[in-house]
Amino acid sequence: MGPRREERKRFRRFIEDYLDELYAYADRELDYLVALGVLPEGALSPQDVVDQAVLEAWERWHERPLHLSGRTWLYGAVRRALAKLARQYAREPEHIVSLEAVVPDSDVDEQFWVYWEPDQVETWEDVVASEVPAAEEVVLNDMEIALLEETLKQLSPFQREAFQLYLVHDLPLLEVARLLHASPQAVRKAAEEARLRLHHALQTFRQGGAS
Amino acid sequence: MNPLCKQVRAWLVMEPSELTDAQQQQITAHLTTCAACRRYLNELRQIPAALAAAGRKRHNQEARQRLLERLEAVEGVRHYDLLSPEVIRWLASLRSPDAPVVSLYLDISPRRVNEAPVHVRVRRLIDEARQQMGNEVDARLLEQALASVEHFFQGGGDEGARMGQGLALFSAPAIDLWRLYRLPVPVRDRLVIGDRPEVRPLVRLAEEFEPMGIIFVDRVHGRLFRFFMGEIEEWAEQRSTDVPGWHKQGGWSQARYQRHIEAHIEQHFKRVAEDARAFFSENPITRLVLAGHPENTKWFERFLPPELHQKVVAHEPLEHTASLHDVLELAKNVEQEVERQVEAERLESLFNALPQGKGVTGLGNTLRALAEQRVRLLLVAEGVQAPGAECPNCGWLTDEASAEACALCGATMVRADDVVELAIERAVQQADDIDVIRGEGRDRLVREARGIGALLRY
Repeated sequence: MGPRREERKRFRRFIEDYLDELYAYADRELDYLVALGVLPEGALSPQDVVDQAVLEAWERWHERPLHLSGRTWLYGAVRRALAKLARQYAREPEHIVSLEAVVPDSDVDEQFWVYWEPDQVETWEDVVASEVPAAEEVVLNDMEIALLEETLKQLSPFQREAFQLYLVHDLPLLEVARLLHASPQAVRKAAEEARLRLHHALQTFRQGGAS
Repeated sequence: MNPLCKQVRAWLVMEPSELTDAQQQQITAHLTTCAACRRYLNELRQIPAALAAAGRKRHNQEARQRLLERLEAVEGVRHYDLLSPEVIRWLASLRSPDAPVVSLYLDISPRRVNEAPVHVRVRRLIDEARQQMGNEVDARLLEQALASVEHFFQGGGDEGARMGQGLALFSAPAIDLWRLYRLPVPVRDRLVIGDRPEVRPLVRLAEEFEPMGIIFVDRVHGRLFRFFMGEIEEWAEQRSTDVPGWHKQGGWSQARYQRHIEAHIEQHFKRVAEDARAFFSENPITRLVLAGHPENTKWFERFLPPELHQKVVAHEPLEHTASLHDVLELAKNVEQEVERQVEAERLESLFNALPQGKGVTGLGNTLRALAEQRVRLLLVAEGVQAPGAECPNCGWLTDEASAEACALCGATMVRADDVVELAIERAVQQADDIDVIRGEGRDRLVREARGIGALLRY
C-alpha cells in the first residue's frame, strides 16, 4: 500500500475517534444559531457541518499548526465550517441573517500568537479533585438538561463558547484560548461565570419545582 | 449559609494561584467536613458533564459512513505519492510476470522544461518504446500501460504541480499500479519496460538523501516527523494534559510549585522521547533535528535514548505557531547545511587519501577500483556525464567508448552513453555511500578530479 493511502488511513483513524463529539458540538451550535434567528430550523444538519469540517481538515492536514492538538484543531475546523455554511446560507436573498458575534474567525489558525504569550492556568479542577471525598451523586433529569440548554443559549457568545469548549468538551484551556483569541485567564473566567449562571438557573428551577 | 462556606465558594471559582497556600489548605479542609459545599462543588462539576453526556447522542451511523466514503473519494493535498525508504523497498519487491510495468523518469527542472516541454519528451519516449516493443511482452497490456502514461501527460496531468526537479512514474493498469513521485533532484529522461518497476535511480537517490527525523517539542506538545527526499510526513503527536501551568506570580510557595511543574514537564519529555524511540526504531533515520524553543529542545535532548541522541545534528528554533510547511522548510535548510558540510569533509578526505593510495580520482581509475570491488565511498560531481562501454557478460566498465572486447572476460562490449550513471549503479552494490557533490565542492571535484573519485577500502 502506498504512503498516501497510509496517510489517508491515518487521518481517518484520527477523525473517527472524534466524530461523535464533533456531531454533538455542531448540533448544539446549530441550535444556538437557530435560537438567534441566524438559521431557520432544519436549514443545516450537524452532518452537513461536520462533513464540511472534515473534508476541509483533510485538505489542510499538512498545514495544521504545531501549537494545537489534533482534537482542538478539529473543533476549529467545525467552527470554520459553521461560519462558512452560515455565510453561504446568508447569501440567499430570501433569508435575513445576522452573523453578529456567533461566527468564529475564519482564519483562526493563521493568526499570529506571538504578541502575547499567556501563562497557563491551573484550576481547582486540577487541585481539589483527588483530595475531596466524593459527594452524593447528583443526577440531572431531562427537564433540568433542557433548562441548562436553554440557559446556555442566553449567555454571552464568549461565555457560551468558553464554557462549551473548555468545560463541556474538555479541551485544554490554552488551546481554547488560542481558538477564541483570548487569554486563558479570560476563557477560564468566562467559563466559570457561565457555570455559575447555569448553576443558579438550576437552583432556581429546583427551588421553584420544590415549592 | 455560614460565612466560611460563602468564602470557600468564592475561592472555588478563583485560580489556585490567586490564593495563598493557607487558603488552599483551608478550602481542602473545609470541603472534607462540609457536605453542603461538597455538594455545591459536585453540582458545579456535574453541569458540564451532564451537558456533555446529553450531547453525545448516537448520530446516524449512515451519515458517519457516508462521510468516510466521501473522504475516500476526494483528493488530498498532494497529487502525487510520498516517497520513503519503505516505498522504495515495496517497489523493488513488486513482480508482474504477466503484465508489463512502465517506469518513467523525467527531468522536470525548470531549465530542462524550458528546453523541451514535458509532454513532448514523454511522447518521444513512448514512441521509442512502441517501436522497440518485443514479442516477449503482452502487446495489449503494454499498450494499456503506455496509454495510461501518455494520457496523463497529454491531459496536462502534471502541469498543475511543478514541484521537485525530477519525476518518477510507475504504471501497470493490469495490476492496478499507478505511482507518481516527485524527486528533489533532476533525473535523466528514460522509460523502461519490464516485469518490475525500475527502481535503481530511486535507490541511488535514497543512498544520497538520507531520511531525517524531526521532533518538535514544547512543554505540552510533542510531534514527530520524518523528512525524506524533499517531503515530510508527520507520524505521531503527543500531548500531555497533566502539565500544570506556569505562573509569574511570586509568593513563598513559588519555588516548590515550579519544581512540581518541572517534574510534569520532564514526564512529558520522557513520553515524547519514548514515542520517538519506538517510532524511529521502526522507521530508521540517520539524522535528527530538534525543533522548538532552544531552552526546551536542550532540556528535551537529555531524555533522548543514546541511539537517537547521537543522531542529533541541529537544534532549530521554531515558533509553536509554525505550520507543517514551516517544518518542511526548516528540514530542507538543515539538510542542505549538513550536506554541504559533509561534502566538504568528504572531499578533503579524498584528497588527503590520494598520497597513501587510499583514494582515486578520474573516471578511468574510479571504474577500475569499482571493478576490483574496492570502493568505499564514491564522490561524483553533479551533472558529470561521459560515454564509455559496458560488458554485458561480466559488467566490466570502461571509459573508452570505442572498446570492443572486455578486458576481463573477452565478451563484446556495448557502448554506454553515460558510463558515470552505470558507475553509480555499481557503487550502490559495493560502497558504503555515494555522494553527488552539488555545492561549492563541485567545482573543485571537477577541476582537480575530473568530476569523479573514490575513497577505497584498501
